Amino acid sequence: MVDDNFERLLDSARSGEEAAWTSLYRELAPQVRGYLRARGAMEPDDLLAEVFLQVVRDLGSFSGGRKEFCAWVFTIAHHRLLDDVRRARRRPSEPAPEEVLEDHLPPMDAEEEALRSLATDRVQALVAGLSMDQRTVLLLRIVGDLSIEQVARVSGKTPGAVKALQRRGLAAVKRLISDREMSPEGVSP
Amino acid sequence: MSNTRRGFTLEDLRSQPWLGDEDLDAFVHDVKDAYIVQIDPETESRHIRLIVDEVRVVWSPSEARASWLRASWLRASWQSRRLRLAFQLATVMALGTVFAGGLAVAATGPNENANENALAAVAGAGEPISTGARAGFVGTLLDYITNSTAEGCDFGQGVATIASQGQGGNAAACSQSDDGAVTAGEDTPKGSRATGEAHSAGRAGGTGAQGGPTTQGGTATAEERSGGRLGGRSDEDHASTAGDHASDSGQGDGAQGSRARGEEHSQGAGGKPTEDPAADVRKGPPADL
Repeated sequence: MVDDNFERLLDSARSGEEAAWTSLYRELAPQVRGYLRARGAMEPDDLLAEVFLQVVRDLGSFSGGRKEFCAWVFTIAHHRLLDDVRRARRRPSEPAPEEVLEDHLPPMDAEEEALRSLATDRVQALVAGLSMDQRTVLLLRIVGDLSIEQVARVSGKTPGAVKALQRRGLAAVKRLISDREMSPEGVSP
Repeated sequence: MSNTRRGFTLEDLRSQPWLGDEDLDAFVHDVKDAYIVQIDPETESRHIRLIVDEVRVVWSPSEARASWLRASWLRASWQSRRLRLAFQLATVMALGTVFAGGLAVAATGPNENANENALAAVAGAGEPISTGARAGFVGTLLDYITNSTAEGCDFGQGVATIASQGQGGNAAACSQSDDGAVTAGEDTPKGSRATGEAHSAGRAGGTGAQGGPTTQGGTATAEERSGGRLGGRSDEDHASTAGDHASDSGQGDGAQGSRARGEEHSQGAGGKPTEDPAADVRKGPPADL
């Protein structure tokens, strides 16, 4: 998206046009929800809605282009996620039974579901092997497509610290992949 | 597993250090595939509805009126506690200044100015007073009497003091005995008739005040009597009978030949007012103002 177009889109959103908000949502919601899911949010869809409602409330104070907007939305998402984690610690909830969850899941092709599940399991295993800070930095870099500086702004760290965390995180991923290939079971779910 | 990182610029590798590394490339693609998925239409429409509702609330007209606060620098200023306190303090001081100004304007209202003007005119009236000056004097005095907010003795004393100063009289000479008898002044011209106004002024202002305004041989006119009555308000508490006054007038040098009418003294609380108001115009020519 060209930055001029994005400026116009933001102006339309500020004037309350539904189409502009739909466009912004469609552009950013998948990445934001992906980040929330990868970070282990209990209800990523609900949290996603909260993030966008906060965007609506605070859009008047935002200034910048597309990249800044993206980083700003991820900052809100990051803070919401931390709030959610704290809330979950204070009030732990019982997970819903499998049968109830299956009733609410959208229908999916069995083969596609199996492949996706396999890939997701593999990725989740690799991500779980990282420290919390490494996970945050790598997921913001990969899922959020943010630069080092933007990740530093979102996570409240210096760019140098983010670079170091990224380097150590990628090294850890390579080590985990090597370990998996060396082990006879492959990826453990 | 190969680890070739050729074909990428240094900038590419700096921004995406996993480029060219097959393992890391695969990991990045897997992460994106696993987590970045399209939102299902039902969830999306639900979220869009929520957003639109929130937009209606947040960007309502009342919120738009406060849009000036959305300017980032102004918002930051307002969020600063110190600046907010300074703004509130300045507002309170401005309101205080306006209030004090209002009080000052109210204290110098037109009524007070009118009184001051009347008193100044009375003080400026010289002796002997001319016919024209007398008319001005009475008019000014009436204005003061009508507009003044002073009451009781304060009112009468204020008039008497200024009148005596302006006409060479002596306010202290306003001899009001305990029984309220008023002594006629020496300045009263011979043959003049002590009018209500003159006597009232005399009662209030002393001997010096009453003689001047009285025209020789004059009879109290309605205006004079009216002025006398009004002017004599301050003496309401002082007893002054017609007989007393007649006696006083007769004894005074200036009151010789004059005829004190009962009405002229009717304002005295202890006086005996004449029942017939026409009685005081029986004799003598009308006073010329």
